[in-house]
Amino acid sequence: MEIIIDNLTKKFGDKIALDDISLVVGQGMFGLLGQNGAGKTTLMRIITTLLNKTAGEVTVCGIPVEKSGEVRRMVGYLPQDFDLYPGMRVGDALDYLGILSGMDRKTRKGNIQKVLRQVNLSNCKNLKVKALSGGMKRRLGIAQAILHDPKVLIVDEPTAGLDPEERIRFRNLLSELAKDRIVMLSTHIVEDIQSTCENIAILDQGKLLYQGSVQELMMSAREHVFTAAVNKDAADAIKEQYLVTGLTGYGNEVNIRILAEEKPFEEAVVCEPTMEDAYMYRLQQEKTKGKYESKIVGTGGAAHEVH
Amino acid sequence: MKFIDLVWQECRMIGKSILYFAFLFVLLLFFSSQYAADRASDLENIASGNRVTINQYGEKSINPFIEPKETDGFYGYKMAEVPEQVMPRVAAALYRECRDNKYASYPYRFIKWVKLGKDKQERAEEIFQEITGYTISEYNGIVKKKYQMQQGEISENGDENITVDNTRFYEIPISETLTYQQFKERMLELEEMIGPESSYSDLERYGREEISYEDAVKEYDGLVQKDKVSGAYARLFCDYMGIVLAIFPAFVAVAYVRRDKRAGIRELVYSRQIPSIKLIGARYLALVLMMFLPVLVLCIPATQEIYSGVKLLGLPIDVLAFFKYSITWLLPTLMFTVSLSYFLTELTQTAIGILVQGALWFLTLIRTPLVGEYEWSFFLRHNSIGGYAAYKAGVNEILINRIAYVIVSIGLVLMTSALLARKRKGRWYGKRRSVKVPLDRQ
Repeated sequence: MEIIIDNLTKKFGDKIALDDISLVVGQGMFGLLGQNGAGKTTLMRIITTLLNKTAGEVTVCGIPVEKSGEVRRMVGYLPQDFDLYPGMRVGDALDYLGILSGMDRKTRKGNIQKVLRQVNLSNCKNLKVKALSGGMKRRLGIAQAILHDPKVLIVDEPTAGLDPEERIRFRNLLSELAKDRIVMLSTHIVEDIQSTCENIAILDQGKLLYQGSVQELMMSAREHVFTAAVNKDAADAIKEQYLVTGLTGYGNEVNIRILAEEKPFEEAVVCEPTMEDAYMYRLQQEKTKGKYESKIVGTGGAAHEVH
Repeated sequence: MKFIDLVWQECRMIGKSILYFAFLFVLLLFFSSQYAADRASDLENIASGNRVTINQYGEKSINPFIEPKETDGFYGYKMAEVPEQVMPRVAAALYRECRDNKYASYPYRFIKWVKLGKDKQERAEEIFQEITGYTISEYNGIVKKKYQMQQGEISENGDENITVDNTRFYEIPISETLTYQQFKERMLELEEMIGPESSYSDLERYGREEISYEDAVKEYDGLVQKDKVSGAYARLFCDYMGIVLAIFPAFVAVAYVRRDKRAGIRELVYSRQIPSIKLIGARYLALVLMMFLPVLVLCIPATQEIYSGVKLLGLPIDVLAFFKYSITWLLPTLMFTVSLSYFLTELTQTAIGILVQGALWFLTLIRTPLVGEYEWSFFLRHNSIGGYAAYKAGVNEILINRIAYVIVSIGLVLMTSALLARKRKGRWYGKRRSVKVPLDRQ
């Protein structure tokens, strides 16, 4: 059970949205991290067969994405801007999407109960979609995505806009679902990845910057994260010179967190990197190496929105 | 089974939309105000049981449901250009319009009021004087006097100059020296000044002559034997319902097709396993079913009404006539309207389907006669009760026309499916659109 992406390139006209990406995603939670415009949504849309690729190969559990009917049967998708017909009842909406997924009446009936229970919405079956809160709607989004019991679940920025409690609940739900399937989670919120994913990939401006475990990524930032207590004026000067990932104020003093190749100044002390430090360090490293070609520009998710 | 479930779900969703209720309202409105109004007087005739009845103006009229007998002596009227009838009636129409300088014309089947310039208006007044011998102001005096007499304000001898005869308001006596040829020349002149389809075009409609016994038998035979009464009314029913089905379903279809975009669930739907042909097929079928079912429901009271009317006379009736005509005449129209709107909406994701359909509807309406010329109109006009002979003469045209529109509709549905299949694979993205969008959503 794997998603294999081999030298994948996607162009929109002369704009390169994905540049020669190669990636293997196995069972469990897989995080796709990147800034807005990095190419995450484009990649997910190609895997869900909503977008055609320009070059390369993508197979989902051994099936090439060109065989869209077969791939769609195996994939559950929660798009970034998830919504449903607002006037429909939750149960009816799921039933409708179940029909579109080719499920027979009996299976639909059983699975709807099951997935609503899984996402803790059992008592909302007769509520109208428009009556649900943002968090409930997101959970309904997961319910519809796993309704046909897919081998692969793809969720695009699922926690955006959720309050902390809902976000934790949502992450736990995804972890639960990842026990017996591939769950591919795309986000620009590092925290989501850190607490749920073992393996991740980092995309930036269409290029793959990193693929590996969270641990390895954090290890790579060791000895490059420093803290120091400095006054406010000094902090401003440090920000000019170094990449600062944290700034906590105590009166005139601030506790500053810096990413640097070497100890930046005498008072700085090495500290344990967080996932966010490691991610930022990786981005910084790539920029410093000057690997980017300015012509490679992601064209933005909305550009590829299905008409 | 899954397909049926899908169609059922789609039907439920259509049934909850406001535009669908608006469509039902318009359909009912046309049924009650147009079709019902036309058949009301006939049903009175049926109830009377007499072949010849006298109307409110004291004129004979024919009850078409009673078999004519050779001994009747009167068999009804048909339109005819009889100068003695045409000229006084046209003169009355000219008086009314010339007096107010407000002339009606119907260049595109819709009324257009024309106001003449000073010279043309003076010429129109001259024409009135030439054909009647009165000036407009003189005739105003006559009308005023007649009104006062009717009100009992003056007696007939109250005026020394003008003799008020039995001239009715809708007929004005014609100058004795005027020939019909001269009259027609002046009518042509008026038509040139006012425009086409004015009160001075098609003079035949101002006159009538009695029909023969043989023609009366033919008419009766067509209505009762061939059409079994209900067939004649079914064609009128289809005429009015066809006008509705040729345009209003476009509103429902366009709104329905766009609802995925409005609700923001296209990705969700597109990423499902269902083949595009099934998805489009189910939605199309649901739209057609939901808009055709009310028509079939209206067939029930329409049939019931005719049935209860003619059963008093013991006439045969085809109880399925309304259903048969609806399926063969109306269903292809509905199929075409929905498929074209669906295709254009899927293609452009705009409401352009309504505009295109509206233009087609309007052009067809203004270019097609009320009865006959069925050739390529996407909705058939037969705005007449009876007219079996005209229908019979065009039955092959109708057949070809209807089959052609069904084929075109299916073709459009297939094209829509192919279009959707491409979109679902992301193969329908305009370059301009992809460049325009900001870089904040990947």
